[in-house]
Amino acid sequence: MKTCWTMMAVGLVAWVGAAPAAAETGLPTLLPINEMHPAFFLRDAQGTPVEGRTDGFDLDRTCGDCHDTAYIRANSAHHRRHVAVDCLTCHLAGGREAVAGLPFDPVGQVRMPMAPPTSARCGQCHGLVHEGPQALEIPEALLLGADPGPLAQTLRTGEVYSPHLMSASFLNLADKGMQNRPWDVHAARGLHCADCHFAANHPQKSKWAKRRPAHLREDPRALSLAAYLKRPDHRFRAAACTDCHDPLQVHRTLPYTERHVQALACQACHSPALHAPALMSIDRTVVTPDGGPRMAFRGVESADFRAPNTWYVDGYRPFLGREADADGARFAPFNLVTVWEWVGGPQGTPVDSELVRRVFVEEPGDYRPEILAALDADRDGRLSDGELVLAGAAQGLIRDRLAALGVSEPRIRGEIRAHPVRHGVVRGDRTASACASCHAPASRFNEPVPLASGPLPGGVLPVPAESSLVALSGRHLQVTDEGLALAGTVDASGAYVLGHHRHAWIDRLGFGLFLATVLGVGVHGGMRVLHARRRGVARHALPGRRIYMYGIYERIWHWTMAGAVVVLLVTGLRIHFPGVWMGPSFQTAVSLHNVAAAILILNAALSLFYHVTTGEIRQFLPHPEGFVRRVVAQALYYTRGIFTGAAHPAAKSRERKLNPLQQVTYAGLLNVLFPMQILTGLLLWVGGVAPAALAPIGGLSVVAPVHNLGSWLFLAFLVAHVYLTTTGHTPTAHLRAMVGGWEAVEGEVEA
Amino acid sequence: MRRIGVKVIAGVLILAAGGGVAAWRLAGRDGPTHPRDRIPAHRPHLDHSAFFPRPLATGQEVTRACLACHPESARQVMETAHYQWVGDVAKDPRTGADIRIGKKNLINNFCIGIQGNWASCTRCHAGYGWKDESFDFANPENVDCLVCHDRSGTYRKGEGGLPADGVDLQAVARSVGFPRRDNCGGCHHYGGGGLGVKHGDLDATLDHPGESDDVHMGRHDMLCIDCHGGSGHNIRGEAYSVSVNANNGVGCTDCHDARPHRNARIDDHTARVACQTCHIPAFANRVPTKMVWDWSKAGDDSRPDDAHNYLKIKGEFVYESGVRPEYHWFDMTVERYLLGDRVIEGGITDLNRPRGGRGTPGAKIWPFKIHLASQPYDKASGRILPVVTSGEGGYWHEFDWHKAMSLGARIVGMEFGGEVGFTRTRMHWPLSHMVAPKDRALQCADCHGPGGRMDWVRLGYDADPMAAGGRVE
Repeated sequence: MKTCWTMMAVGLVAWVGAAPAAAETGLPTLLPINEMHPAFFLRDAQGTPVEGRTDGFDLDRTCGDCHDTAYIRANSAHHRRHVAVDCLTCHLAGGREAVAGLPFDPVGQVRMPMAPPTSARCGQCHGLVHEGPQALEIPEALLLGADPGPLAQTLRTGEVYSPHLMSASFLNLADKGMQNRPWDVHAARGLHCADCHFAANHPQKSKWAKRRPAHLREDPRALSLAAYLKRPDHRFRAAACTDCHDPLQVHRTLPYTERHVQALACQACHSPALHAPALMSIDRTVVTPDGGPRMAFRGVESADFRAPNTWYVDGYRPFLGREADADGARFAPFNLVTVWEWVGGPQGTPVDSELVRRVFVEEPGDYRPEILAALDADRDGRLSDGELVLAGAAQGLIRDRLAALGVSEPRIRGEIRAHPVRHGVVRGDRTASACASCHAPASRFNEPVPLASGPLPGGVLPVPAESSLVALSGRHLQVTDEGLALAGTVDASGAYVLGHHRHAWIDRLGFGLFLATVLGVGVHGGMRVLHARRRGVARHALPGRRIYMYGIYERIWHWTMAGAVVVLLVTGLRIHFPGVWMGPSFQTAVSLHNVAAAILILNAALSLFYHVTTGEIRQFLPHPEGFVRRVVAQALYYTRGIFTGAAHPAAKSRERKLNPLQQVTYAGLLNVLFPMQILTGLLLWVGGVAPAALAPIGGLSVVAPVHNLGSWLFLAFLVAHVYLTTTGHTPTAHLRAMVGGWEAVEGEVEA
Repeated sequence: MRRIGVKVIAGVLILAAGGGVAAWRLAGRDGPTHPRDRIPAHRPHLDHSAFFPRPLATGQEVTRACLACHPESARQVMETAHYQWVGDVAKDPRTGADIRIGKKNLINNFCIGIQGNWASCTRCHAGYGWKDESFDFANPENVDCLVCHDRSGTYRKGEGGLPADGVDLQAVARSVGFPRRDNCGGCHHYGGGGLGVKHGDLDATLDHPGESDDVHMGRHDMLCIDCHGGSGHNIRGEAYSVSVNANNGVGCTDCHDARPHRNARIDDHTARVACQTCHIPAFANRVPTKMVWDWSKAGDDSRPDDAHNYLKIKGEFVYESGVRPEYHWFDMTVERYLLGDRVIEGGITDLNRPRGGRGTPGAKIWPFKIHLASQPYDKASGRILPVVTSGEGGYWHEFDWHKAMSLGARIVGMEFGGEVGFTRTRMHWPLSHMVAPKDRALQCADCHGPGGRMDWVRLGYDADPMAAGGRVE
């Protein structure tokens, strides 16, 4: 045993997973396994070498010659009460059974091909790991639903660790020809489980495992190999994606990479779909004719037929939930499994599945007659899937039997468990990259998650498991005709997902404002037309005076502003209501919005400079004397005079282009709305590229609604503004002036 | 309104800014020209049926008729290896000497050599009447236009390359068009004396290939001449069984980007790994190809004849299909065994060893079909001598190795020591056809990690470069 550690450190180059994996897959052993691990004596519990036989040796004493087995035992996630592994389970191909075939040397020592654990060894307990030349298939053992069991992780989430292309498997995959990507890209790139799941004090991995001060890029001090091999810390650490990858270096097509990286676990996009049968619900209160629990799977069709490789597999997209161990709102993919099981005792300890089995099944493997009688509703002598749901008398029968077998207070408990999805990783070109999968009103944040179909076992409504509370926060149960589902929206406090999150009241208010403006303009305009008809010859038909109203620069900045605002409004609507508006893609809309905003800000700054330096800014400043009277006069004109063909109360001229009401409006627009939109818009952008900077003021969830309200106001202003251009000397006089510079105003034609 | 232009310009500028952003984003998605766009379009060939109103009796007569309108064509063909059966003068990479080699004067691993066996070998010669040394290479009428341009599918050649009996030459002449796959395949799919014998990556599967047989010819229905086409009848391409360099070669990068994968790590492989290595994971996928030919077992009356295992006239064979290639460094030059070279007694003599190693600039790891043979040689001089097999007095008629070799030696003017031995020879056939669709290309784990198909140590690495690092530049 000592040797395996030596090898682990020294044989890094050989990373020999090779040979054991080969042996398991029936390939000839290709490489010498581990030349560095010395031969050693097998020792019994007293420490005496056992010679000539390979049973009856004690691993703690044998490996303990060199390795601190007591330390390893005390610091190992693999030496817990219910885990039955020893050194050889992981470090010797074939495990303890393989020892029998090993030769002793003349001294009486044995040379074992110790090796770091290969993926295949890990897969023996943790889930489906598939290497070697054969096509991948789903083992029948899946139907036993064992937890823990050799397929546990695959069963919980549908994860498979294999370099094979999915299209090359035996599975009946939907659109199989197109599934020409590996089950897991890390497996395809030759990574082994132990490359990311490593001993906490592994000297090679110390750069990941050790905390280091910010001024150091790397801390070269590492545990010596000898010290490590003596006492390897078996409380394994898992490398984070970012230990190897720098997400900011890629993702060039993703807007706001920093924000996405901060808010999302990498797997949220990079584990887009899982294609091995993953549990939806599992009912351990009953025993199926296969001897396992009753199971329902996600992403598969026709799972009734008991041959997993024939199931038509569509795959399923994992569900977003909050990640428990990250600060802030980080969203990660999960599979939700609803588990019903018998529990007993005050603590609600799960009843051993073997005990449940004994209640249902007699020794040869048939159902007990009284169980059959209680459950077999159609009296055909068999228990179908639909009949295997406990309720009423049958439930009482099982409960009594369990009680008779020594279970105190047997009862059924239902739990929803969120299992994080961390494997099944795809390359960037295969991710679920459609923006609308998150940035839409109906998105991954609020998609309903089916939990179970049909009647619930024992009528018990499941509750979220304690360890899954964070992942499930924000969601609630919903009983529908089809069964049980998870409804509601993932708790996204602290996050504001453009296109998904919005405050309905702001939208209603904004839309109401917009509608009111349109209505007002319509009524006002209609009345003007009616009055004009009644009057006969319109006053403005009379020839007017032409003056040069707007200089060239004024017109340029105005139309630049107009263009930018229109682009901003259109793209803004596209971003705010994805899926509702036609037009550019979400991503393009975001880019256009940013470009138009930059143009607008630049244009605003230049025109401010122009207005200040030329003194034109006085146009916007109302003369205090008689201001109120003139405002009233202007208001009266718009409400009365304009219909009767009265003259404008304030004659428009080159020196006085704005009437008092305009001055009030523009004072609000330019001093409040403009700065507010520019500031909140900039903050939205900052929130994307440097999310931390925005955190102190509450993040996007505060800034975005304000920006949203502002844009509704802008829209309303735009409508009114365009309408009011028709109130000049002629309906198009203002417009012509803003285009050509010359405006016809009231008054005599100058000779 | 005079200054309306200014406003128009301002408006246009704004629109252009927005449009430019959109266009830039859209344009960024597509890379350089797609190789599909480089597949030549084929215009319908001019219907020649009106040009041959009278029956034609001989091949030469057809050629004369062709030359009436295509006066340069025969001259062009006569300069090529398809007609000469020797290539241009080349530097022998071993000795530096100028050599001119080809089928005409080389020994191979299959039917050994054409000297003395012209009549049957030249069934595939693009000419008429090469039955012995006296063939007139200078006569343009001896060029066979039809073997490449026949579109009727009825043209066959017999001994000496003359049209086979019963071929309606007028009908064939009226059908002519540009060469399609079956024109080239008529010879190249049957090299070595039968279907799929020689190349392993060329057989009749490619006449009508499916997508998975060859992505170019299957999915895109490309023709041989789409890659091998050249001007003036100079067909591009080098067979390294008869060439020592790549002067007239065709490369994947003629159409494809040198770094086409949109993945930096895979693209990095292209510096040291030929495209073919990953994209031809196996060869002879449908039709088996000959891997071993043992002439020493020939002549045994007690064994039943069976085209794929044993023939009395040829000896013992091993055929395989779906073969995994062998991988070697290859710098596109080979060390050719020339007539007169000594064999390695007791060892394996390479007839065309690919040159290059891990340290050779420009060398890449290539996939090869390796063909092994045991063939007769002159024990006294330690040299392989041509033997007459199909020719008069040849082994196939009289089963006398001594006589066959004496005849062969006389033809090439070499001395035969009198005792025939058998020596093992090997040929390397670099693979370039039967390119699989990309989703069937080799994946990382096919070469790297446990069970990978590369023998890294033999290729000059200390260990799997995935773990130990790649080449030191």
